[in-house]
Amino acid sequence: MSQPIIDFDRVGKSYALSLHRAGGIKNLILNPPRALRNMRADSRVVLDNFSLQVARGESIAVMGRNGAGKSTVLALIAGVIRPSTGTLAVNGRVSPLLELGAGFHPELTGRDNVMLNGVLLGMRRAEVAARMDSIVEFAELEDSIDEPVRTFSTGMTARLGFSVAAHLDPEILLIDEVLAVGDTAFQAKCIAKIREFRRRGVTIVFVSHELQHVTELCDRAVVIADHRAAFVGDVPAAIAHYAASQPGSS
Amino acid sequence: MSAQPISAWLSHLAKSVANELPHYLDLVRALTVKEIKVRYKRTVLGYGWSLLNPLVFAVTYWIAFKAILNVKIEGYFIFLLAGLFPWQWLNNSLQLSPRAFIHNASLVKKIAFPRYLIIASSVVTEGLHFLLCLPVLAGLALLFGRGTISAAWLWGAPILLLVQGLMIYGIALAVASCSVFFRDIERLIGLGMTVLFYVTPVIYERQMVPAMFQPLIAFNPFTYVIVAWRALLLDGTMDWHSVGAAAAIAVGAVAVGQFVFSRLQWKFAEAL
Repeated sequence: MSQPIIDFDRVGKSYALSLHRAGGIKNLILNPPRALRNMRADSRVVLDNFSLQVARGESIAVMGRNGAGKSTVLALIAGVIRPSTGTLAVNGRVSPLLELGAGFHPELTGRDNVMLNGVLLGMRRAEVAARMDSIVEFAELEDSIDEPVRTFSTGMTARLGFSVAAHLDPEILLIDEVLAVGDTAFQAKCIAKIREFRRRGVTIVFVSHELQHVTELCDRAVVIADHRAAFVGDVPAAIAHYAASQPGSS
Repeated sequence: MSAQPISAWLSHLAKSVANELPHYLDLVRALTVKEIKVRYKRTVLGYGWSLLNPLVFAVTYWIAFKAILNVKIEGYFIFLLAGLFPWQWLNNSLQLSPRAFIHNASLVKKIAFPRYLIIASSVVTEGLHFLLCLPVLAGLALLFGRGTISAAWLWGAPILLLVQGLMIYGIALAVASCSVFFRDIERLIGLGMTVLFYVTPVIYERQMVPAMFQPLIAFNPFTYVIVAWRALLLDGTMDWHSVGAAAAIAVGAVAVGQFVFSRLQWKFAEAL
């Protein structure tokens, strides 16, 4: 196998819990050593010794129970957070499809948001402008694209977000539970688009609880349990492993 | 650290900047357009507010200090505006900075892009407003017969814009980064800017300050840039001493800002 496009090598990730508490500057000023110690000590482990190699052009599903660390894995690949321990190498352009319409501003029109989102996701202004019509058409929002996004329904926002992402030119596509919104017709359209990416050799990391979508779209799957990659292998075996690990099902 | 890694690091930095710069400029532009569009949604006056604010303050201070206290500064109204416009840029940017990352939490959490560009775009947004105030100042200077419209503006203004822009960027970057973890900083900045306003020679001249309080003025980082703007806008001269001091402060601010940001940025997505 050539060099993997994504390589998790014994990655650990823990979140400092005190960052989430109402941080007060008072403690820091009154007792800096203790405040800093507390900050380091209180942490929640999400991943520990997590290793996974993804080959170029492969589609891999990430499975696991709520809170198992699926979204953390995607966020690490997208580069919005860094591993606490171990190393992670990502050797390609990532389309961060972490959440459709992430960064859409409710007061801006659909068109303005497409421009902003497209540039944030790595396109040049001219590229977004050139693809604007095609993005709007794919989202089927020709009639409302010049309205503020706050007037859009959840499904419409998700359609526009998917459409922007679908017009990127990524080497790695991250998909997090996005097919849950949108009607059946649009879901089918999204799946067709993801298949097209797959044919073009784009590496896909897919998070979904829809086992049918996982089976349809993925070559392999990783099941996260106990902070590690508990199982890596073909999809049917992964689904069996995942089902067996569910409480009350053994 | 020896010279070798530093030069290697610098050339690496230069290369990556050259590669990424066009996209970064697009990002700053897109974020700035967003800022401006969002801010002026459902306002009637729009950009007029950034004119009206300093004008109303100038009238108020003129009544208080000229009409009532009879301060000995000639052309006091224009004098006030020449300090208030650049001060407003400083003040607005720094007052907004604690919430810069917090307001853009969904971008910071979900999309990997250079987050410091959020700060850069907010400095540019406020800087544009300041720039649009300058013609108004020139018009009023003509009307009141105080100050000169000088050719020095053409090259002096870009230098001062850059110096002040960098100074604000550095401070705002540090403030915004720390505010993600300590929300108290917003209160601190609000209080600090109110105090600093009166310790900066905006409504008075530096020479009027009694010797005892001169160190207070000298150690205030904002003194120099305000003094330099006023020399340029009122007299058409570059006060190189103040410009130099302001530039040194700006470089220091950027260094501190980038350092604080680089230490904290990987915790942003977790803390927001």
